[in-house]
Formats: sequence, C-alpha cells, structure tokens
Amino acid sequence: MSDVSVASSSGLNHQQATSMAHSATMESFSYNDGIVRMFVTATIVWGLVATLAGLLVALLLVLPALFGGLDPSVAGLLSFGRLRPVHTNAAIFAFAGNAIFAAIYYSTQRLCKCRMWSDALGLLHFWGWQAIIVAAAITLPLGITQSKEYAELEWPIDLAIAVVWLGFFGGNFFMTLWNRRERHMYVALWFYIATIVTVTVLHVFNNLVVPVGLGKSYSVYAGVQDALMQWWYGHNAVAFFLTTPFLGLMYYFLPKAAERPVFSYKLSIIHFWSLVFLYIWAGPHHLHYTALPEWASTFGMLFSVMLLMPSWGGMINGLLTLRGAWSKVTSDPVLKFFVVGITFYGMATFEGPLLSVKSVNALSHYTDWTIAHVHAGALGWNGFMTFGMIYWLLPRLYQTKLWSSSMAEWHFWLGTIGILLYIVPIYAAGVTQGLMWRAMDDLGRMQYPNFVETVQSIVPFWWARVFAGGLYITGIIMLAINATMTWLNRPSKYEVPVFTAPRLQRGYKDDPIPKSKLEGAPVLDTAAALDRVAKMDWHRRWERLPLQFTVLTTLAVIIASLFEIIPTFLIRSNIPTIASVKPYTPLELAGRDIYVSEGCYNCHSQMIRPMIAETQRYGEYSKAGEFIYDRPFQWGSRRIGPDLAREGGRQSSFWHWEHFNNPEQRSPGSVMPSYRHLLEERLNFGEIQKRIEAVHFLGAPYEKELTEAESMAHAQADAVAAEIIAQGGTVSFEGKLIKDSTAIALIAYLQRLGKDLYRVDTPVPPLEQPPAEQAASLNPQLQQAVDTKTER
Amino acid sequence: MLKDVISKLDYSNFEEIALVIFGLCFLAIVLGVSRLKKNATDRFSSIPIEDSVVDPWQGAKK
Repeated sequence: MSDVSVASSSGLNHQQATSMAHSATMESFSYNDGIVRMFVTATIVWGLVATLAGLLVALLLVLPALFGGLDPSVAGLLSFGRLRPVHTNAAIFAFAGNAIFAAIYYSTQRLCKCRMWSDALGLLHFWGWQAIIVAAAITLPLGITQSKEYAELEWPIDLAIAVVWLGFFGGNFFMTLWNRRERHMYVALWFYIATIVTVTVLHVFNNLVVPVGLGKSYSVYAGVQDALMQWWYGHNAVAFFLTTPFLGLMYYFLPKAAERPVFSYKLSIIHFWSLVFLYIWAGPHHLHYTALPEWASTFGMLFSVMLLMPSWGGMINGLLTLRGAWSKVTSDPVLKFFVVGITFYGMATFEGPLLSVKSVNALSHYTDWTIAHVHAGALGWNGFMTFGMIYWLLPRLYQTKLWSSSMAEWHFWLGTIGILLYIVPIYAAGVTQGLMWRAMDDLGRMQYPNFVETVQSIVPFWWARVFAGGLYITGIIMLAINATMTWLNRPSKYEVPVFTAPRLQRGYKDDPIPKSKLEGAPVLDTAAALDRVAKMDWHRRWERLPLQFTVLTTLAVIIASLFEIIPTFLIRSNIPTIASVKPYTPLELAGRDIYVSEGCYNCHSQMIRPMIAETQRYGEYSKAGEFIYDRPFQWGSRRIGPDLAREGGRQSSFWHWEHFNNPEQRSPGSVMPSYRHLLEERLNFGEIQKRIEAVHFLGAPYEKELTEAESMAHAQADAVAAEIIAQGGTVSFEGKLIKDSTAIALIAYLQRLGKDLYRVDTPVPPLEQPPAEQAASLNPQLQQAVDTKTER
Repeated sequence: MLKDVISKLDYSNFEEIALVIFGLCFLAIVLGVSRLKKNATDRFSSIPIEDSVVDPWQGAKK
C-alpha cells in the first residue's frame, strides 16, 4: 500500500507537475481481484474439461467402437468428428481464454495503477464468456458447426463472441488504459492491445456468413478464398490468442516471480513489432501444395521462416530474465513452470518455421506431426505458462500460503513427463504416416496402397498418447486440489489495499521534439528531418498514447492482411474457373451439409496435392476451380482417413451405405466409428429450398432449383436408393424407407466429389416429369427394385 | 474501380514488396530502440516489479 506523491503521477510535464504538486485531486482506489479469482477458477475448471475431452477423443481413435453399445442417435453425438472441435475449442477459448483474461485483469490494473474501469463490464465479460463456452459445448456435439477449424461456432454464438470480446472485454480494457495513472504503457500492455484488436478483426472477417436458420449458415467465401480466409484466421488465432497474450503474461509475471526486471526492454520492443508485422502474413503456409495460388503459398513460407527471429528473441529475453536467479528455479515450482513453458515456446517457434518450408511440409502436412507440434505449444507453452501464473497468483489472491508446494512440484514433473511422452510418439506417428504414404516400390507403385495399413501402423503410438494425456490430466487434478485447499484456508475477509494517487492530467504536453544536431549545419533540410525522425522520440510518444498505439497496431495488421487477401479475391486468374464444374444438386447440397455437420473434415481431407504419391493414391490433383461452390471449403488439415476429393464413383453407393453402418466390416482395421444414425435419421427435405436460395444468393447459378429444389431432391434420393437396392441393399432399414434417410443425401454428395472435372455435358432430350408426390412411386428403377427385393 | 486498379497490379511481386515493407519497418524500430537511453529502459522494465505508483516519465527524462 502506498500513498503516492502528487508530482510523481500528475499528467503535466515535469516543471508544471512540480509546481502543481499539491493542487491535483487525490483519488483512492483499490484493485478488483475478485474478477481475477473468478477467471482463475474458470481456467482450472475448463482446463480439466478440455483435457478430459482430449483424452476422450484420443481414446476414440484407438477404440472407435467405444460408444458402439449406445443408441445410434446418442452415439452419433459422441463421434470423433463432433467431439474433436469440443476439445480444441475448450482448450483454446475456454482454458487458454480464461487464463489470458485472468492474466490481463490482474496485470493491467497493476501496470496502469488503477482499478479496471468497470466492475459490471468485468462481470458481463466473465459470465458472457462462460455462457459462450457452454453454448459451444452444447452445439458442437449436436452438429451445429461451420466446420472451419477453431471457427466452428455458428453465427449466433459468433455474434455473442464479438459483443463479449470487444464490447465488454475490449471496452473495459481500453477504458482502463485511458484512465491509467502510469504514463508509460509497459510492453505487456502492447501485447494485450494487439491481441484484442487483431482477434476482433480476424473473428469478424472470417465469420461473415449468410444465415439460413439459427443453426446453419453459408460462408460468404467459397473454395480457395474461404481457405485463405480460414487459415489467415486459423494461424493468427494461434498467433494472437495463444501467443501474444501469453507473451504479455510472460513479460509481467516472469519478472514478478523472478523479482528482477525483464532482461532487455529494447529486445521486447523489437519482439513486439516484429511479431505483429510478421505473424499476420504467415497463414498461407497451412495451404502448401493445395489449390491456393503458388505466390500466396510462398508468401506465407517466407514470413513464417522470418518469424523465427522475433520468436527466439522473445524466448531468449524470457530465459535471460532469470539471470542470477537460476538457483531459485530449483526450489520454486512457479519458475520451473515458466522455464519449461518458455523453452517449449522456443521449441514450437523453431518447429513452426521448419514446418512452413514447402519440402518439409510436403511430408508433414495431414500427418500427426502437426498434432505433435500443436501439443508441444499448447501443453508446454500455454499450459505451463498458465500453471506457473496460477501458482504465483493463488497465495496472493487468497491471501494465504499455497496449500502444498510439493504437490505443485509433482504437478510440474507429471506434466513435463506427460508432454514428452505425448509428443515423442506422436512425432514418430506423423513421420511414419508421411513416409508410408509416399513409399514406392521398385516398380514405382505404392508400397502401402491400403490406407488402413498406414493407420494401423500408428495405433500403438496413439495408445502411448492416451497414457501421456492421463499423466498431464493428473497434474491438472493436482492443481485443482491445491487451488481448492488454498481457497479453503483463505481469511474470513480479504484485505483490500487502498492506494491514493491523482489521475493523469489530460493537459499533458510532451516536451518539444529534440532538435537535430544538423540544424544550422550546411546540409539539406531533409537530412535534419531524417535525423529528428531517427531520434525515435515519436515511438516514445506512442507508448504513452493508447489510442494512437492501438490504431497503429490495427493498421499494421490490416495492411498486411490486405496484401494477401485482395489479390486472391479480385484477380480472376488466381481462381481459374472450369466450365464443367457445376453447383451441387439440391440433394447433394443437403448431403454436403451433413458432411459439414458431422465434422468429417476432422479425419478426411478433400485436397489432392500435385505429388506422385498422392495422384497415384487418390487421382488427379485438385484444381482451384473445382471448389468455387464449396461453402465452407472442406480441404481439412489431417488424414486419419483417406482423402475424399475424388471419392465420386470410387465405390458403389451400396458400399457407402454399408460402410456407414459398419466401417470395420467394409474396411477391416478402419478406425472410423459407425454412422448408423445417418441410416435411421430422416432427411428434412423441407429445409432444402431455403438453403438453395441462400447459396444462389451467394452466386451459385441455379434455375429451376429455385422453385423445385425439394422435388428434385426427392427424385435424386429415389434414384440413389434404387441404385443401392440394385447393388444389394434393401428398400427399408429398421422399418423406414432408405430413400428418406440422411445417409442417402450424404452418399449423393460423396458420389459427386471430384467428378465434375471429367463431366461431359451431352444434350438430353426433355422428359416429361411426373408430379413430385408421385415421383417416388413412379420411378421405374425404384419400382423394379421394390418388386424384386425383400427386406433383410 | 478498385477491382480494375487491383487487376492491373502485378501480384507476382507481392512477396518482395511485403518483404521490403517489413524490412523498412523493422529497421526503423531497431534504429529507434538502439537509441533509447538506458535509464529510460531501466525505468520502463521496472514497472511490473514496482507495485507502488511511480512516474516512469520523470525517470525517463533524466
């Protein structure tokens, strides 16, 4: 607690401040630690939920029939495709999100020497964010998803995120900056500013959609453009949600824990601006060798490689902050967590640029290598920095000793061993997959043509992950116990220190810009001006001006983004159209929506790269023009199952039907769960019309579909059902006609995939169409099949 | 109109232009940072350590 001298905090310049030292209005204030306690508790709770969800999806890969005994409609809610987004969203937005809010609410008040601007906004922020997380946990298993990685949530929740993030959180944060009593904004605050503005920009522009109901929308972007926007968002979600706020956390809590200032403040400034400038361009490295224009891909690689410099600058700055304090590391679990966390930051930011190099990416992409990389960052960097912060905060927030330091030590060691046992086998799995996919025999044929064989070879590694994940979760349970016991030992009433200080004065004027030594010298005026600029007094001024600083950070982000986005959107040659590529039929569109809803992209890609190993296995490589009606794009980012870009016609419709029912029977060794619920669920044909209209609004050239979508869908469903029956299937399944099942629509979609490239349109003589309601009964194929087949 | 303007651009040079923009900004920041006075950076970097309300501006001016 300190009674602050007036002069030291007044807003006037030095002389004025001295003269008015006793006239400024003194104010009393205290910090709002209640909101920090709430966010810390939420972090621990959601950390447990996120990692348990991770353990569950890891188990589903090794035990795909885990929920096989449940009713199909329930098992359908618990498939890998639906639960993986629950895990990723919980880890990113619930666990890491609450952690950064705890860090920001605690440190911003201390760095600004003032209470958060509004307690009410803080509470709205807290409960709003928790409500969003709960909404995500409910909607994602229900299949309400945009199927864009880390941006799965549908538009009503997206709107809520925008309001809570920018309105409640951002508003409260920026008003706190505005009302601060510390004129200089410490570097941690810069990272927080960059986080808030950039996440807002990313979130808004990646989630622009046309809604067709509360739980369904179509992206305004399609195909290549959607892919570029998504990975511009996806990569920068990592950058500005999982990196910059944690760096702010590091720059505040590490010096606090080590009780010494950051190693180099100069390096932190370079670190900040380099990250902000570089990160935003790097997204396209997620799309190497895809249908993305080559220049954009190279662009992403170039800036990703350069990212190594600032990232390691930050890591070195963090580790060297402990200079002279390494002896404390051996005894202080907080510093242990920070040291390992920062080390993982260095490791992950070395590996990131490495993976962005095209030749490396050719091997690593779609494999578990990416998963190992992500978990080194998430478990090591985000997890350990969070745990270190929480262990440092617990005694301060609850004003008592940490219940058990030895349990914190155990948490540290279990977590560290857990991470290592997780990533090492998964790296091995990733490299194994990559090498097996591309392996050729002496005759130039695929050595492992059966995809399932490549999956089975890594199942032992997946078991190791389950064990390692269990260790990591045990550590979090220890944290939860330690936090609860510390909370139970809290005093009956918290002591609330009250500080006294004046506000910064609005009338503050900076000292005049220092004159150049060249003024008056026999040189050009330009030289003198340049010398003044080079004195960098302007940067010092920015550091005192939150509005200008925020605007400049936003400009850096937007300008960089536009550099890669504008050409891709406006230059037609970037996305050459293919005359034979047509919009999806109404039934195929409905089937595609089911594909999206089931989260199939979590296991299957739809992008064949121009490599021999891929074209031999999957067929002709994918062209940008093939995806112009794909909203959202479904290229995926990993292959637990094979690529589906040219799945159309590869298998019979009956094969697909049987495969949904029991994948293991059709593909022995497959880890795909049963999708029996798709065989039983009825397709809502009445929904299709408005979906066609929405897609048409976005540019799909429909004609008679605009009025007859439902009847056209029925007619095609009849034809697909007839095909299945003719190939050995039955007319009905579990007492319901198969032609009305959702599986039929999905099969129609799958049978269309990749075929347009080879489509030859031949004129067809017009046929007299029967009325829609009679179409099914009059369909000759179906009628014939019904006559000759009996139900199994 | 924007579309016309953009379509006239040779986007194959965008990587190089972006690199130059970054390079210039990076140099400007490095140059400025290198000219920061030690007493200023010492004062700024001590802000999180110091819990009482102090005036880093005053220190920076020394």
